[in-house]
Amino acid sequence: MRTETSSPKKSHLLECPMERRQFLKCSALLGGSAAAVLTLGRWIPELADDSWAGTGPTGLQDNAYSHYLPENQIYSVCQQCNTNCGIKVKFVDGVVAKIDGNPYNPWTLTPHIAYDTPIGQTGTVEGGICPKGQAGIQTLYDPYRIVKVLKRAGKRGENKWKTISFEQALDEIVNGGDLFGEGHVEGLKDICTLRDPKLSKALAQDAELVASKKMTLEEFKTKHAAHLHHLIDPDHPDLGPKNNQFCLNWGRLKSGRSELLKRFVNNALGSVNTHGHTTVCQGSLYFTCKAMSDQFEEGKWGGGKKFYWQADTGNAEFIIFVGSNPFEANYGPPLRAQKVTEGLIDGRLKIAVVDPRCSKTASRAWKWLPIEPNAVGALAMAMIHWVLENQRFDARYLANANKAAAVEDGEPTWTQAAWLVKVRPDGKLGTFLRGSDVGIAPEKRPKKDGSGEWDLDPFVVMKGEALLPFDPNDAKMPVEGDLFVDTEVNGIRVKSVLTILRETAGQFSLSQWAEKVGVPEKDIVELAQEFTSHGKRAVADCHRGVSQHTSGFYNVLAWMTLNTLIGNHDYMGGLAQATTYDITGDKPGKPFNLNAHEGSLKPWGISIIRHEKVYDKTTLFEGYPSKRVWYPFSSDIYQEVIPSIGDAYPYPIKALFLYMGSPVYSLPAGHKLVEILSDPKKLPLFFVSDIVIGETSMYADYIFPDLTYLERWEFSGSHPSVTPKVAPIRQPASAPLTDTVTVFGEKMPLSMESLVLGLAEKLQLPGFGENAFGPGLHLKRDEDMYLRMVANIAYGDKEDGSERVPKADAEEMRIFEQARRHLPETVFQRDRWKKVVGEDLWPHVVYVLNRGGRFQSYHAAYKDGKLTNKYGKMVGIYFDKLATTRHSMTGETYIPHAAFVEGPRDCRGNLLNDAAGGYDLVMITYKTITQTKSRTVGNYWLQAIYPENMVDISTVDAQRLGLREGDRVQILSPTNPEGVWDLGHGQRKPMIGRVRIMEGIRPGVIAFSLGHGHWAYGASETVIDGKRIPADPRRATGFHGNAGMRVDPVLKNTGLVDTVGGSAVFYQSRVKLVKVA
Amino acid sequence: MQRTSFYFFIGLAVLGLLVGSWGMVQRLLYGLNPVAFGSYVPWGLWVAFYLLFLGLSAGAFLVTTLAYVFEMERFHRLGRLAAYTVLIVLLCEVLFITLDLGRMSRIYRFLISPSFTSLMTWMFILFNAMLIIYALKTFFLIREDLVAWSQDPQRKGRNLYRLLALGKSDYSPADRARDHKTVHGLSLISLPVGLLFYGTNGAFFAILMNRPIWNSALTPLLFIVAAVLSGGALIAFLTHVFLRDDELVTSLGKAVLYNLVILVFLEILQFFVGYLGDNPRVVAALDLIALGDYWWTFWIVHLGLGGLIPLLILIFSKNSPRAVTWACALIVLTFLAVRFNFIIPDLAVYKLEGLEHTFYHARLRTHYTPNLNEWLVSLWVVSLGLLAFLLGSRWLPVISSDHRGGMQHAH
Amino acid sequence: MGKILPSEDVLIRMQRDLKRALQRDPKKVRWTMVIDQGKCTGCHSCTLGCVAENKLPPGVVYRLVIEEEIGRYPAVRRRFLPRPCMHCQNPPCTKVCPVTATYINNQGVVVVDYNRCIGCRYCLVACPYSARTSDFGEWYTRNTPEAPSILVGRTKAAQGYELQPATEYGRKWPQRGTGSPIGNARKCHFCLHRLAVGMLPACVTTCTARATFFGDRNDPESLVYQLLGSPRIFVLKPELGTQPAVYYLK
Ligand SMILES: Nc1nc2c(c(=O)[nH]1)N[C@H]1C(S)=C(S)[C@@H](COP(=O)(O)OP(=O)(O)OC[C@H]3O[C@@H](n4cnc5c(=O)[nH]c(N)nc54)[C@H](O)[C@@H]3O)O[C@H]1N2
Ligand SMILES: Nc1nc2c(c(=O)[nH]1)N[C@H]1C(S)=C(S)[C@@H](COP(=O)(O)OP(=O)(O)OC[C@H]3O[C@@H](n4cnc5c(=O)[nH]c(N)nc54)[C@H](O)[C@@H]3O)O[C@H]1N2
Ligand code: SF4
Ligand code: SF4
Ligand code: SF4
Ligand code: SF4
Ligand code: SF4
Ligand SMILES: [Mo]
Repeated sequence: MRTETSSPKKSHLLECPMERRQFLKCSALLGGSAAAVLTLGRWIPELADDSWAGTGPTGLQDNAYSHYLPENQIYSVCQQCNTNCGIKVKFVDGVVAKIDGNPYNPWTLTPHIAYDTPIGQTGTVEGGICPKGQAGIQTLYDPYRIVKVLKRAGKRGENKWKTISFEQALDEIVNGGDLFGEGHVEGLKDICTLRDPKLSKALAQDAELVASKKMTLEEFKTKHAAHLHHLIDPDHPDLGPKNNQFCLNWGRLKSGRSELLKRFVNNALGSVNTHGHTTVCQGSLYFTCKAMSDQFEEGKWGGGKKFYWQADTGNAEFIIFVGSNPFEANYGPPLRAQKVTEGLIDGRLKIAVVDPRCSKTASRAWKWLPIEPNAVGALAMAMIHWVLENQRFDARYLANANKAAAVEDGEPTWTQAAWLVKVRPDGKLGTFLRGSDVGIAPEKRPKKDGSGEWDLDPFVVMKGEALLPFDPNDAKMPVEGDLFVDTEVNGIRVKSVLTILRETAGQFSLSQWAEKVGVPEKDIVELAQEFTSHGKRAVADCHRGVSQHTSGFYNVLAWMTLNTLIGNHDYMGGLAQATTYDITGDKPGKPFNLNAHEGSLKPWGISIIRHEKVYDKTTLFEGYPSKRVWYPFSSDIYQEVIPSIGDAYPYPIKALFLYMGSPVYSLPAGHKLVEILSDPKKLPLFFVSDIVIGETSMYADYIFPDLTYLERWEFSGSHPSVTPKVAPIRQPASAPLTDTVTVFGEKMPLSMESLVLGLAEKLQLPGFGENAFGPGLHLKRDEDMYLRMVANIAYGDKEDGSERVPKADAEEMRIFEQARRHLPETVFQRDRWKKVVGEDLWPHVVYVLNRGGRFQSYHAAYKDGKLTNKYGKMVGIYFDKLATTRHSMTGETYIPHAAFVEGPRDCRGNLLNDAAGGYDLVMITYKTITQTKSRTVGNYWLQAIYPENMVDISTVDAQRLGLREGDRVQILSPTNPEGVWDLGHGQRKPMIGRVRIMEGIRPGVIAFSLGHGHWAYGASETVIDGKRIPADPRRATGFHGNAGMRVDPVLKNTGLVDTVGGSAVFYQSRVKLVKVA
Repeated sequence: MQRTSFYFFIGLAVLGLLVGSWGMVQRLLYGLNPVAFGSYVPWGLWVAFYLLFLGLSAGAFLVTTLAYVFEMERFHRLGRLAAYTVLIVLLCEVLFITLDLGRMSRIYRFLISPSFTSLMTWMFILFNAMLIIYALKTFFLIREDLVAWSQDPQRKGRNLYRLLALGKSDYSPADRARDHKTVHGLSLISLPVGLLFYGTNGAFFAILMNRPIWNSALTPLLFIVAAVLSGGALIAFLTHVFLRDDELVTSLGKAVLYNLVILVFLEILQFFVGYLGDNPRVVAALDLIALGDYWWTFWIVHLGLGGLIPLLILIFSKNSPRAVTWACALIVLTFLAVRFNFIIPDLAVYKLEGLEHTFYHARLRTHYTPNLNEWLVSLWVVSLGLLAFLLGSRWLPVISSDHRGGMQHAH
Repeated sequence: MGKILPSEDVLIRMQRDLKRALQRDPKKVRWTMVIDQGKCTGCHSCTLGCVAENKLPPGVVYRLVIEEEIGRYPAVRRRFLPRPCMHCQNPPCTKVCPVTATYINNQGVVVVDYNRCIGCRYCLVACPYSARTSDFGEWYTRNTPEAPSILVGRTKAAQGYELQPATEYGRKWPQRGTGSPIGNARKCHFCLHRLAVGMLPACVTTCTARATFFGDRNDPESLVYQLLGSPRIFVLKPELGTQPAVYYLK
């Protein structure tokens, strides 16, 4: 089954000549009288008997099955969870009959089939998807899905609604008024007043000067006296324009829609406040890797990507899954499970799992380490300790201080292990030693964009006795340094980064570390031994269980540093990153530049979540601590958006637009948001795009029905463990179920797009409608943007177009159109679509759409034992930025390297001790294969497998507490001693679950899975237009433990946070269980 | 039977039919959807009732056999009633089993595509054979009276009797002798057929491998004993009610006593062997009987009300026909518990370990409690049987105190 | 272990095996499934894939997955046992059927003829693997709300995924109402309708861990043939002599 990389056999899919003929035969059958004969059996059963026992190779004579015909399939992308597997949606009579894996897409087959396989041949070929993916039909056809715009008819959260016209809804949101009989509400047109790009730019520049104290406030005020009314607070111009008081917050958002929304909010309405949900997810994993990917560019550290690495699962020899759940969650079972299981059985792979819970993944592991939840960083430090003490790191790799040295060794990446760091007189670690510190003069270098020169003050390593200055990006002059340096130069105490790590890791002995981790020392040694026994083909693969801690940033950094010690980045079987085809087309040569936006604003100011801003560098600085945490190194801090609105810090928000997110349900201590959302004084206008009335949208003023993932466009991007370069495309597959509306004179289904376009039309925003992307390039419908993105993908990323995909031939064209015969004109019309991308590109676009995206071949993703799609840069493990930036709550600088930071802590860094209050159990949470967040409870098929979640508890604890299987217990926590969800209006939902006793969980820890315990989403009654919509008890089973997660004692309306990486904390709350009858 | 009690029972039967018809409507409209059993316990109350009636018919079968095969004179007095009882009970049986079919309307399939490897097919054949035999037997037993009644000018519904007598207007001693011979002949045939029938019913369960308790050679034996016991008890009861033959009642009581002892002995054996054998699944099934949700049906209903109390009565008041009748009534009334405890616990053991923790659905659990609907349908069928029986006992010459079919109606 | 990549997914290989089998003498084909417990991750995809493919109503399941926890903390393991119909070559279920509605077809697949089955459920009782379930005419959408032009509502939902039955046994079945297969015994049929067009069973293609294999065990070139030679092979309840055509790997 496995052959050399070098000889990728061009697989001729299934050399079966009969296929085509069979299609024809069957099509004829379907249309013809044969179908009638088949149903005759119903009336005269005897008629049917004979063919039953047929002697065909399958025992069937005739076959009414029609899913397999390519003209009954549309290739798209699942979104039942964020793995976004490729799917093919199969139709019977225009109804979605089945969903299976798209074989062109690397998520569902390893390797996926050749991209040039004719679409006519793949009707019978499919890859694997998970149970949620299979059940997606029930998201589409969810009886509780809304199809009309809803406006609240009672108080916020009372769950009383009336349907209103789309027109009216737009009008009210844009123009405001006394919308709810509760007083005047400002509309978007009054909130977003600053519309002049030039003025905006001028104000922005000067506000920046004020913040950096290069201009006085007085000067500013005089200079801009005529425009101060555009500012939120003229005394703090750096807060930005009032436009910022319109905030967009989203949960699950992918490319395409993301570009559209940002175009709308950032560039047309000029608000900085567009925030995603990253930190509720695996925030610190992203932001640690962002820090690690910062490069030294033209004198400054920057350019770090918001991304992360995962294992090249299919080729690794050893993977430690740390707080990561690839068989049930993660990214995700179809994508990763096969690569693990086949590896395990073929003997290629060994895995270890670090998780307080014996996950399904752990059940296949060579070693399961049921660690103490708080100690996930400690284990990494323990391993670093052992690796460094036992010289098991890749010294050759680590010695390389710059690109040239790496290139010389054939290493795709390099790191800072040998770089020298200054130790400050107070013993604290400072910044890197620079040439200027040791009398080496800076060098002049030309800027890339030709706009002048910059000074290179080189970094320094030590080689023997010599100090070697170097440019990290220098590709010609290799510089290598000694790994362990601890000395004094020029009167400055310096240490190499690796020395710093060794000292940090050596802070405790291995047995002391083992004590903290809560597993035997022997296990740690064996783990470290194994990890360092496979060259570059060993990986520590981290996920939420690592990042969602108060020390999430450092936990991730410790584990990623461990990876860096063996230098596994960009290696086959090592750490990989996601690579996608460009869709925005702003590079030269691309067919459509979708960033083109005449009259666009560049948003500016401080965001409501105070991200990427340093507190003490703003006009708001008034000593430590700040009122709420500032996040200089992270963004998309989900748990900050609504609480900051509640505290009006740094300013009040007037309108919130929530898209596809459910913070009340998904955030730790999400119940704390209810109070804020329910109060129109704190949040005057709140509108949501949703498909049902959900746990959070039930608190909205307006809910706009959206299309589900099976009815709409999106560009789902990739995941780090996908090694080929890809561009999967979600496209309208099913006919839309929402109402039809008219925007820009075009008929279309109600959706997020029609909402945005409708608002843009009403507000007459530039960049929408006629000539939005340039002359003749309108943006009046979703496809005006998305089809052009497809065209950009089809064209490829080579300027000369040599990477263009083939054209769809006549047969492919026919299948394309046939497959869409059930789509109404509001969605699909061939000539309209063709016009959007032009005659030339159309066949290429069809080629891509037929395949559900564009996918590089698996074999092309590897070369000479390395990845083709490389990260190829420096991997940072020590951070100047952290060493020089002050924490807004403590005034201290941040630790600049991997370390174990004990937790849990509040946001001011104080350790919490809830155990003292009798809260004897640590509550953790995980995902189960059958549920995704708040949004799969209406998938009835899934319920048989796991109808309700439980309080998972160890046998030992159950015995101690006198609990028996199935007992009902209430979860009480220090900040929710009553153990209830207070939902407002007197509604209180107790957090009561049934106990499931197991061996596979660390004593002292309880766990619950995500997805149950609903109070909306069909789980409770609503009233619409005076009509009672009853609840479905099947949607209300189980419990949701997030309200038991600890509230930060300083912030008071937010759960615990990682103040560095921004993560919301899910695994460090202490609770106690009380048995209820 | 007293007129008042007759009307009381008629009223009861009609009421039962009325109340039960709600369940029947549900059953006919929605198929098996309204029932509580599912796929792991695929047979429920109705099959238990089927078995109950099967047992009752066996008793009656036994009497007719004794009466007409072995020509035990004293049973002749009971012959007609017994034959008629078998008939009615068989009809109830078939109703129960038909209503239990997921696709009732396809019952004709037994004729079109029978499978002879299935004991159910054999049951169907034997059942029909029994039905035919007993229909004929009843007919020939009462023909004389039918003819007589059809000629009796005072009788209401003479025409009906004429019809039933197939137009025959006079009945000669030769006829009588021939009918008696026919009955004897039929009874002779019914003996092996009946034995096969009842044996098959036991084998029906015994051949199911991997069924903890059923799958045992003891099962057919248990079936026969149970049948004789419940049937015998029923006959003793009927004898008392309809024939007031004290002697017969007390001697039947003795037979019932022996059978009861044997049954209990067999049951003890079953538990003893089962627990000692220590096969976890057998133990699980036995535990379900003894300790499960329905422990009380076993301990209180079956062993207490249907076992110990009758046993004591039958031992200590063996000469009191009234007491014996009560004891027998108790046995009959509680026998449903025996049948229930035979059917359900075996089904209620998950066939694969862990099935109980996966794919949850009410129909995929082994917890089974018959629902109202099943009770209503059962009530309907039982009431129908009761009504047919009462009407027959009144309007057909099935009750007689002498072999000539003399008119000794109890009212 | 060199630097090697798989040349094709095992699904593609098996699909080729399947196509080859379809061209063989039908009487010689013996469809066979092999399930690797060492690979199964207990994802239940096969269960749902089957439910979706065959549009199974509530309470009907052809292939479920049993989960087990073994051992004591911290030496704990979890094990998963997917359970389709074993397609016994000596099937206790077919023998008890009074009306020959269920039988073993020429390729060793145990099928149910819905048009014949009287719904006596004797076969359910007889199957030692609980592989048969009866269709009691349940609906997922029963009791869901109907609010025309406000919500998608019950009727549309039902039309979406349960009104129109799947083409089991290659037939177009009438709309779900009270007719067959309601009231019938139902079970795994190795997706005959898919095999007929050259597709692997739904539970095989959707198995995210590639733990399920399918093919003709009489074809020495086939993957299943090769897997049957593994020392890890076993069947469930061999003592009953049912001779399953579904094999497991430990
Ligand atoms: N079925 C399903 N799949 C999903 C999703 C879903 O909702 N449902 N969501 C998708 C999304 S958005 C995400 S972010 C990913 C998440 O994917 P993962 O992060 O891989 O999965 P989780 O289950 O959230 O948590 C990871 C594991 O961390 C363990 N854990 C908990 N506390 C600790 C701890 O203190 N230390 C350690 N070491 N481990 C701990 C949990 O037991 C769990 O097994 O999954 C994606 N896939
Ligand atoms: N206890 C616990 N809590 C967790 C986790 C955990 O493991 N355990 N995991 C966390 C993780 S990883 C994440 S990513 C977050 C997710 O947190 P969120 O992003 O807030 O959660 P979702 O549930 O995905 O929110 C999506 C909401 O959008 C709506 N929706 C669904 N489909 C559509 C659509 O097509 N269009 C529109 N407009 N709306 C739609 C639904 O109402 C749904 O509630 O949850 C976190 N919460
Ligand atoms: S893992 Fe499952 S739910 Fe998630 S995208 Fe893939 S198929 Fe869909
Ligand atoms: S597993 Fe059960 S249903 Fe399947 S063939 Fe064997 S006995 Fe019959
Ligand atoms: S339920 Fe159907 S298939 Fe099963 S034994 Fe009865 S008639 Fe045969
Ligand atoms: S072979 Fe087909 S019918 Fe059988 S379990 Fe698999 S998917 Fe279901
Ligand atoms: S789909 Fe495959 S891995 Fe998942 S439970 Fe079924 S057999 Fe196991
Ligand atoms: Mo997430």
